[in-house]
Amino acid sequence: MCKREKTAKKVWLTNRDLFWIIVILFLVIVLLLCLVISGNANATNILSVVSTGISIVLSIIAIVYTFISGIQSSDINSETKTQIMLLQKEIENLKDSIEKKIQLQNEVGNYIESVSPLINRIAQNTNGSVVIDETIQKRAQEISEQIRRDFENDE
Amino acid sequence: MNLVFKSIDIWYDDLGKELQEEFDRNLRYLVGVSKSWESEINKYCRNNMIPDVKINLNYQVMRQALIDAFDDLMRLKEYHPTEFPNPIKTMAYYVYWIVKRKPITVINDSILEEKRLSDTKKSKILFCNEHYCVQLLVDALFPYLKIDCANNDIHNYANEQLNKFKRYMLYFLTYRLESPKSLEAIMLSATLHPIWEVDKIIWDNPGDVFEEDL
Repeated sequence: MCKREKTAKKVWLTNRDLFWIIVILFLVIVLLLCLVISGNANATNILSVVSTGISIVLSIIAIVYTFISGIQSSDINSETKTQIMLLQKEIENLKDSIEKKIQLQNEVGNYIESVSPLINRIAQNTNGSVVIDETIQKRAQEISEQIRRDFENDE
Repeated sequence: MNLVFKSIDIWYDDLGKELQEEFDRNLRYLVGVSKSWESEINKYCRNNMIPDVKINLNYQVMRQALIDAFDDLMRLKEYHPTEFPNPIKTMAYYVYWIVKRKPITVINDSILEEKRLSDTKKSKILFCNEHYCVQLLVDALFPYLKIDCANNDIHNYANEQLNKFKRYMLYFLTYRLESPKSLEAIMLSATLHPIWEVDKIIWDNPGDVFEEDL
């Protein structure tokens, strides 16, 4: 039952029905006008005055519409321009960060190369014992938290 | 006067195996903490979209600072033979010599012109050796800092006081440090509270203090 109601609501008036209703009404108006005007000798004058009036009104509507659409398009243009500028800045920032990352990567590579002989030397000094001491690593990790807290603290 | 600079390698060889191991262990610890210092500060910078602080740790200068500290401590041991070294005393000597030798250098000093960094943070970067040493001191003072006190209010208050103490220590190391003895005295007095456990060796065998008072 409910489904039927819903479908009835959906197909009550379609666009095609509206179109045909408008066409029929238009034809009725034309027929009535013809009947009214057929007995009048100044029908041509009346039609020309009416058509002139209609054309003036339409031209004014066209001018106003053009004006409004022009304002809207200029707004859209300015928005697009600002968006493009923001994008350009973002791209420049990304480019800078990528360049920095590449530089950092190179520096890290160089650093590792320079550090490796030192590590070997420490390894030699410790007579082959384990170079990376786990207890030291743990203590360094614990101390990291303290450093972070201390640096963030502005008191 | 004839001044002779001893070769580092000869000095190292003369240490003996036990002290060599102690020396290497301490050197690795100092280097490890300096790396932690750099990475933690850079984590903060990255989180706040600030360029990284690039530091250079001069390994040889750090080693020299440790050699100087070891020399001082060994000289002390000749006069006051002790079985176990006091960690506060040893750290006071390490810190004194690190502050004097300054093995850490900030490469990109333009970071100090960064407006998003507060003046306190800038001072912590500018005096990077001193700030790094403050962390070493606190680690030596309270190795069990993670153990919470039963009362959270007291613990929070103590944390706040510790931050103030750290700030004072940064000032002291930057402008007032004259000898490791003064540093040792300050550090020892900082352990006189019941909040965090300190290394038992620090106040080991003080004698009967009540008898002394009488």
